[in-house]
Amino acid sequence: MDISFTIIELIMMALLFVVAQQSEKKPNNMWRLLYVAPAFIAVIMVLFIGFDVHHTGIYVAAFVQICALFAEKVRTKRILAVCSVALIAVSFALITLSSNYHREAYYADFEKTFNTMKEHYVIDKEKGIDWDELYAKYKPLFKEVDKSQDFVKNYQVWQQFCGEFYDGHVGYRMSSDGLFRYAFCKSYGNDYGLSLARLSTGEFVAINVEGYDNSYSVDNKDKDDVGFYMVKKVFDCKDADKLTLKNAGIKNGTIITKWNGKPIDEYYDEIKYYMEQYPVRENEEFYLPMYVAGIGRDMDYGVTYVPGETYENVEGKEMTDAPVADITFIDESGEEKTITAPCLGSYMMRMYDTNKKLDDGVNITNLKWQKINDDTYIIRISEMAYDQETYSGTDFTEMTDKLRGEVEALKKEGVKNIVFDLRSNGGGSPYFVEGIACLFAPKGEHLTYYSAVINEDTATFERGEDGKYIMGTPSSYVGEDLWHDGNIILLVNAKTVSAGDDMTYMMGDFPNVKVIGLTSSNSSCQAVKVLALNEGEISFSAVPNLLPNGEIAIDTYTDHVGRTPFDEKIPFDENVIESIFDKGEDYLLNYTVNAF
Amino acid sequence: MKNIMKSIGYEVMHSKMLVRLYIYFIALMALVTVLNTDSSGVSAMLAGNDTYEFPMLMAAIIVGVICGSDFNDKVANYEVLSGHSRKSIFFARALMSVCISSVLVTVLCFVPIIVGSVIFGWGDKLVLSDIIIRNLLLIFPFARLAAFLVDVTFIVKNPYAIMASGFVIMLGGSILGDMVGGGNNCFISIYNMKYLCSYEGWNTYNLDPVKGVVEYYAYNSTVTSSLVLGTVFASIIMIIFYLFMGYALFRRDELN
Repeated sequence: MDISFTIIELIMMALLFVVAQQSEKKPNNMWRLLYVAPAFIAVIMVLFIGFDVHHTGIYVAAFVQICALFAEKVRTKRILAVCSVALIAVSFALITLSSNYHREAYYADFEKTFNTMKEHYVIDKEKGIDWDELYAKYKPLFKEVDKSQDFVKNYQVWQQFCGEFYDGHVGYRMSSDGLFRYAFCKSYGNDYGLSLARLSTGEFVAINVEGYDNSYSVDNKDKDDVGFYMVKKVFDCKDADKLTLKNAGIKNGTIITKWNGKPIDEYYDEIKYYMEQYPVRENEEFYLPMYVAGIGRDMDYGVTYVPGETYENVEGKEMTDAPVADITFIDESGEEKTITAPCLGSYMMRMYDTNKKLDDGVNITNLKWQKINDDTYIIRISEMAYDQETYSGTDFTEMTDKLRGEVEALKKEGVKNIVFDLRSNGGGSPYFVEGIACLFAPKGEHLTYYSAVINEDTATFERGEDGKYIMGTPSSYVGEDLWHDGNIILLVNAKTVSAGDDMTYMMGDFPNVKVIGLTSSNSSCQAVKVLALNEGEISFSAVPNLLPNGEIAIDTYTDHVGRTPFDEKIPFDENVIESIFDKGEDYLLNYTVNAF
Repeated sequence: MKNIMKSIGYEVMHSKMLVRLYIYFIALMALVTVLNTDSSGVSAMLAGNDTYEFPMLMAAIIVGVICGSDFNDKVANYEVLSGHSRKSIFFARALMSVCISSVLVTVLCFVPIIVGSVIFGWGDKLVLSDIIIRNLLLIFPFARLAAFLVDVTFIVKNPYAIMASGFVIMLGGSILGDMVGGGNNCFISIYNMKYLCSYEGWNTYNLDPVKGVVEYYAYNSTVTSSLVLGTVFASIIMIIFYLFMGYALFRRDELN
């Protein structure tokens, strides 16, 4: 837009040069108005793209033309037009050549976030946040990002910053989807043809291996929901042998003993940020191996090779060759072997796919039922929202009445078991949760949370002398015990967050309810506030939910231990891998159905 | 020049249309205040609403009447013929327009404060003294806007076109402020007004078992030295600029 305005101004000056004589011949204001036009355009420019010192030449040129109004001689007017052209040319050069032009306000975003969160992040004491230490650590990092104007580094430092809170509600999002997608793909290393996971027995195994039917394929051209297909080509290493792992005998479930000659868990300390937050340590450890699979030989975590570009290795040396990874595995004969896997592209796409395969729930509409067998039905709850009208209110009667009718019908049908599929439930309204929980809760009144008292003058929640928030109004519902004779399983995972955690917390302790999953629920349930920044937005826990004893509900403390009920951890074994990554089945649902 | 200014003053004082319109605008501002204010007091209404938009329209009407009507009835032409210099014809009208319109519309901006405080009370969202200072400072961007409108009037020579342009500025200012963003600066009068009438603050919500999500706002209305200096200097510079530019156009204009 700035270039367009500059060109328009240049055209204006050429026009003024030509009509200089005309405006003297005809002393009419309509001619003279032309001399005001550059100033008018400059004002419009300020309105649309703001004031910028790099545009000073354009502003001064516009002012010079106002002076030309007073000039009597045609020659003077023309000289002033030429001067204006020169001034605009200087601005044009500055716009196109200056490295300081259009600087993104990365550091200002950090300052705004830090100051706001320091004031309004409501669980800093519980999470053990040392604000001074945090500031001292991240100020230089964001200064560096600001200096380099590197949006990929900006994303990485934000992810690292958000990770300090161990809170599923702290998250950064860049305002440009395109840049965000690219930063995403450039922050988790390269694809060497597999993801890694750790079995419940402790061994590390290959999953989602390139070349097998139900695994992710680098040649896949499907349009995904994030839009990776739009940036995929940039990272593709076209000449690499995509079947190196398959030809070497590595398949889903093959035990991997070393990565680049190093035990996989020795990489854990190097992993500085994740693509999402895992407040529960046990959940974090489940996902950690996946991040290791993007690290190339002699490369730091997160460094991602893009064909045609250089990258720095661990010694800080500029490299241009495509990276590789040394993978040591146990072959079918039980011998340890090492192969060198070539880089196939960005690892992000494979890791994202691995996560989806492990974590996504049944792909049906929210609050829809699906018959599994004569005894068991599943209800999918992907988000805690019924409709737009009820979302910010407390009255979910319509939904509760509808569900009551459906549950009664299931009872008549002789159904005994219900699975609540809460996998990757992103949350929503806590009153929605109450609207469902009341149907299944034992008879009587059930207290959920207390709100905290807010200081209306400062719009902040203040702690009392005991360090706890002052308790406000309790929220409760009356149980109907509709499913008294039946069983319920809540199927959760580390991405069951916020109101998803609420449901796990509220219903998990009912006598006929069991909570199971590969991982426990996220453990982040304070209400969220989103702060708009220059280059994105950040969300954080800003409204406390309190337990009857005044403590913060559900969220993890400094021990990073989950505080939602979790009755059974599904063993992550060869069966899971075979079922999910070879057969494309929903193993976790099948396991759950058999767990009644 | 003094005589021309006196005659303009007399004309304004006896213009029934202007007086009626001014009273109408007072009533309109009062009505808007009553409709937008609740029991939390007028300060909460002021924190969330701009009150300078209708006065912008009033400023255009005043400038249109003072500068534009004399082109309709050829008074300006007769003044030239009777020996008044173009400088005195222009600056008499321009100065009277800028002074009268900026003072009158700034007074208009106090209507919500007075009416709201009497009916609903002041409330506790903003500090009254800060708001009075901010409203008084509005005289500068209003004067700047009036000076700009003077220039436009001397070009189009039609009072009704200026009144219409006031309406466009009123709507455009509101839409641009929301659409274009980057509004908190003193460089452009409508942004300067928005800057003076917007307050940094924090808003959050709480979960109420009966009402659901309840919003809370806290504002900081402190008047900073940069706000005062920026408003005053930017306005003075731009008023001088507009008036000289207007004169440059008028001094050699053909008065048909």
